[in-house]
Amino acid sequence: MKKLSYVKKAILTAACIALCVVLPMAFHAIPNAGNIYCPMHMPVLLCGLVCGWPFGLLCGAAGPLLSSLFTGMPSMAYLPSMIIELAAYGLTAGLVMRFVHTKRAMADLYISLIAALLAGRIVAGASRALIFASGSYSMEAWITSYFVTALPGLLIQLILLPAIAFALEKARLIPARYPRTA
Amino acid sequence: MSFLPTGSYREGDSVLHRMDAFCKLLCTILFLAGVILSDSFPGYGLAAGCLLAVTLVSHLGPGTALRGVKRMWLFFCLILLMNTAFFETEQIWWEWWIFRFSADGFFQGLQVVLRVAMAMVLGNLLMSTTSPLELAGAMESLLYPLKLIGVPVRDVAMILGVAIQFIPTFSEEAEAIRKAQTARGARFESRKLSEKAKSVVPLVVPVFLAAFRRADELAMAMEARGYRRTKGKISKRRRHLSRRDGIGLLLCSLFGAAEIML
Amino acid sequence: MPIEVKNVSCRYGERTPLEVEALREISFRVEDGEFVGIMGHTGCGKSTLIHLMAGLLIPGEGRILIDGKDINEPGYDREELRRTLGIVFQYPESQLFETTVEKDVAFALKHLDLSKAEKAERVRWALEAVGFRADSRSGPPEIAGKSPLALSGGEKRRVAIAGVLAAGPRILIFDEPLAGLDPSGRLEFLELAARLHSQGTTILMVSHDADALCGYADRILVLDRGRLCAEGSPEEIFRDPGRAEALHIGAGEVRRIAQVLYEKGRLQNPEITKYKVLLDEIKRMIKAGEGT
Repeated sequence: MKKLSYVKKAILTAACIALCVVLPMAFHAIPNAGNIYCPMHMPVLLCGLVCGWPFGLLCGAAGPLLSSLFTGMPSMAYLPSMIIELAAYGLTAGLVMRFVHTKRAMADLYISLIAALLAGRIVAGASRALIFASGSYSMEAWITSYFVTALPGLLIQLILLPAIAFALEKARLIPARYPRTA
Repeated sequence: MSFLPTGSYREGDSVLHRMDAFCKLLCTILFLAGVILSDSFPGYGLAAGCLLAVTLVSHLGPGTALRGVKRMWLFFCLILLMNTAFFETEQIWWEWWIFRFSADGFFQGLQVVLRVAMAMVLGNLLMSTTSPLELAGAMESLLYPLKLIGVPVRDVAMILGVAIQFIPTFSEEAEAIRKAQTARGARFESRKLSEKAKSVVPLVVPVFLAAFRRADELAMAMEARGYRRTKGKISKRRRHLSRRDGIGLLLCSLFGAAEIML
Repeated sequence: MPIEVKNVSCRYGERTPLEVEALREISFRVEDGEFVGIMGHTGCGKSTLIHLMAGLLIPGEGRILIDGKDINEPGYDREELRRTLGIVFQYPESQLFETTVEKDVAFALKHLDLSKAEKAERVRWALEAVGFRADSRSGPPEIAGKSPLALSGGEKRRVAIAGVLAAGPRILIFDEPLAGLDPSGRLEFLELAARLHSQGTTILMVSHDADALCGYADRILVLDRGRLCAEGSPEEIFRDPGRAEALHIGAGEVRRIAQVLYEKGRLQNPEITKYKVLLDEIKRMIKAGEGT
């Protein structure tokens, strides 16, 4: 499969944005799933990895926005910080994926994912603390608590996303990063 | 059964319902800025009063306006407790082990709680009086200035439009997949962390595959019909503003200014 | 394992203005080893009925008994239900997700108490049942090691069906299994269903394809707007083509041809719904024609 065209990237981004709305609803039946799986993070990260940083950024900003509009989750109060967090995921995932070339697709994927997850968490924790808790203590506490409580979620993303990317590649819906017949 | 989830929108005929969505969005942003910037209790009093007034005008019940706030009580308690116990200040009520309880900390926590609660009420008011499609249109208008810095707003609007069209289809497909995997014996729950991740693979992977396949088909159809990346001008949506929109904006600006001063 | 559906009603969106009555006071019984077809217009409640029988939905009123046990009773073992009743949903290929065909087919066996060898044997059997023959006598078919996502459409569907068969269900429900299949795929599937039926599996098949159901089903249930409005052998259901039309189910081509031949005076009895019977009649006619 050739590299993705602009139109294809745009429509895949639209699909990822729609998944930002649909996946949390699909996970609704599983108790406590929202907190553990962070279902909205998956399409955003994948969009950044597959379509590049501008599209990842768009997906991260528009996904939670549309979800909030259509399902009321996240509520408007969390929307700004959530948008910042997810936009950071999409952006970082795309950027790192672009500049890291280890010749091994899975290694590139993991490096980009870890970078994106860390960057997104820090940015989100900081932005939330800045907006809602401009105190000397609150900020640090918020960032650390954010980080610690989110750790299981991070690990789950690290397991799930490569599985999804692998399946999409097998189904020839996204191009292989290092095609065998170069 | 094709439907668009309507979120929290309630039909109605109040002034708030009739306001232009774009202006309402601007008002909400101004109001939110006011709430975030306020840092004194008279300021919070003013904000709470204004919120109460707007709620009354909107004809929405207190249940709708406060939705979601109640569920947060545990989080609120936690924030209050953490701030009370750890805030770094000279004046301390009493100290025990690593905890340093202080009045300053308590008020700091209270402020955070008030801000979050008020922001939630504000969001509820906006979403309950504006239909999702109107709101999406308003967002698009709000993004218009981005075009000036080189963001292809028309493409972004196209992407958002396609995404909205995808939502009902995808949610039907996701539901069908969830049912099918359940019938095949999938269990979406597990104690261990790694098992937890694996247990949702049968749900997540097919949902992504189905979504990407649809996207692939649509993109091919669009390319076949000659859709190209846009570089030209875009027509700006014309909005019909009435007096109540102007008054709303004015009031919210005044509120924002008052909060900065207080 | 008879299935009994007793006075089942089901509504969506209860207590909202959008309340839809999907099913109303449905009662029927399916005996062991029967092949029952379910027909009806789009939106008649067929999917709801399937979901109810599989325990994926709970009826508002009424009871569903499998082997005499109410599947919605609190003490009922859901795992037992999953083992005895298999469902092949519409477009089942969309549920494939594993890295190899073998793993995907074995997914349904994950929670069963079987040894590794037994599981492998089940997978091999299921793949052979859907037409993937192994080259060697002991090993699995060649396809087992491939990614299910990289197969052709028809192969994917067969693998997905194998994934349901592997659990060894004694009742099989097919929801529109013929949708999107080419003529040879359609015939292949129908023969698979007939083979499973002859081995003693109870089969319920939802389809729009009257010829397919008439050719294989012992009995047909017709749903219309949430009600069970006709029940009987294919011949009974299509005895009066006008009535079938009124129930929003079209008679199959076989029955239509028989009707035309009857009206032209070439057939004594228009109630032919099976392809093979019609073929024999036509052969007889041709022979008789040659004779004169």
